[in-house]
Amino acid sequence: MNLEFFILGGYGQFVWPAFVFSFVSCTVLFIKAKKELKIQEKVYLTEYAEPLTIKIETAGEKKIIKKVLSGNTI
Amino acid sequence: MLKSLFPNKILSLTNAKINVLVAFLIAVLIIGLLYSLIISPADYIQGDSVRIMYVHVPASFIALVCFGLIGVASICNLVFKIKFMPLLAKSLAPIGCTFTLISIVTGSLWGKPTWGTWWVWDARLTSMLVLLIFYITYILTWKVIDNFEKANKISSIIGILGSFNLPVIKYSVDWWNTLHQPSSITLTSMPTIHHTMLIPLVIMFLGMIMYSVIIFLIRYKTEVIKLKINKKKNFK
Amino acid sequence: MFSKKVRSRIFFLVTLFVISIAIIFVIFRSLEENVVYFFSPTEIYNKTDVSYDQKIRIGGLVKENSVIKESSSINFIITDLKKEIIVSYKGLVPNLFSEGKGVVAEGKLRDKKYFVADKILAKHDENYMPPEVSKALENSNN
Repeated sequence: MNLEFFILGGYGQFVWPAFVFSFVSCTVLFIKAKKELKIQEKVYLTEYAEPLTIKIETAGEKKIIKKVLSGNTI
Repeated sequence: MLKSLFPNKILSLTNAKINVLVAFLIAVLIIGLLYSLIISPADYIQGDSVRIMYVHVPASFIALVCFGLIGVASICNLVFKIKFMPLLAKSLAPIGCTFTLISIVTGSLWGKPTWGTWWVWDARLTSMLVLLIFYITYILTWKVIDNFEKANKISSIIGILGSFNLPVIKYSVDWWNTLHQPSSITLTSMPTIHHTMLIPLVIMFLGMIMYSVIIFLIRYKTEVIKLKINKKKNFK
Repeated sequence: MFSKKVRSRIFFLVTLFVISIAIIFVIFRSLEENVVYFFSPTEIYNKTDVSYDQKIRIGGLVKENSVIKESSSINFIITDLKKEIIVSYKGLVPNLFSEGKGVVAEGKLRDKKYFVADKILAKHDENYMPPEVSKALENSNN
């Protein structure tokens, strides 16, 4: 590693904080979003004890059936 | 295309799929950072401070686009009462808000060595600050107002009013004398950025758009699950 | 085409639209002087109500060969290629300040031709390129 990479012609003190700030705030948002999703999934599973994925499949099938039955209206 | 945004479809987005997307994102970001910090040359006037551009410009762009989408979703929501529109807008808001903040902070860090000041009240910077305020009020209406219908209405109006600010931000550098320089990349003419500097910019653009899409998908899924929980609660 | 409900909502939105455009228009008309971040020398020259006690900003290009540096002060000419204003300033100028480049000075006018600045900001343009390219461009122009 050479030092020039960190000094960046005297602009390092501005360039590095800019990159670090962007990176940190993006990471924070990502972790927060992930955490929130985990919490909501847990609430859904424990309180209503219905696995999400199965429900979708049935919902999807129903939709298809409905579509087939009323095919000419679309 | 719009159909894949239907609330039931998003639930098939598993954590494994998200992880694949994140792996792609990390790869793009590493290449982008290598280019923007090491491979790309310094500017002929600004020296190495030009590297701040590679985060500043994409972040500002996404901040504007996000609010534009919120505006469109708000109009669809108020006029046609499409159920999942508020969920879309609500999921986009924190992304746009974060990028607006990044844009202002990196811009400030860029302004100090080049202009000689952290902040000036010129039209571009001020209108960007107004955008941040709109984002914050939009997010707060959802947080503060418990009644979904009420929060939905008020936030949609904020979304529409805030959209008027977008053309002001975009064209502020052309309409008035500002300290901020005019756009380097426009639809109508060749970019005024040398191609060696355009490469990292484009890669960082791609990376940040990918990042936004991932966050959007995660947040949208969260919102859909929340809605389902609320529905169940009301049934009982 | 749309139901009555949807039509009434569209009507409401269009009204909101028109009203907010009107409001924004009025705000910007009244703010016009403040929205403009700086005046060019020509605008100062044409201005009838120049105030000499109020802080204003003037901007333009630093005229080539006009910079005179002394130990702690600097004098130069701001030009918009039509009119010129002499600026004097005490203190350090930003790195990007150089002849032929954009500049914004904040301070007070002494008269229409002379400006005492207490802050100098460098304004850069939208062109980005590596130094080699800029040199090559200069050579091909000469």
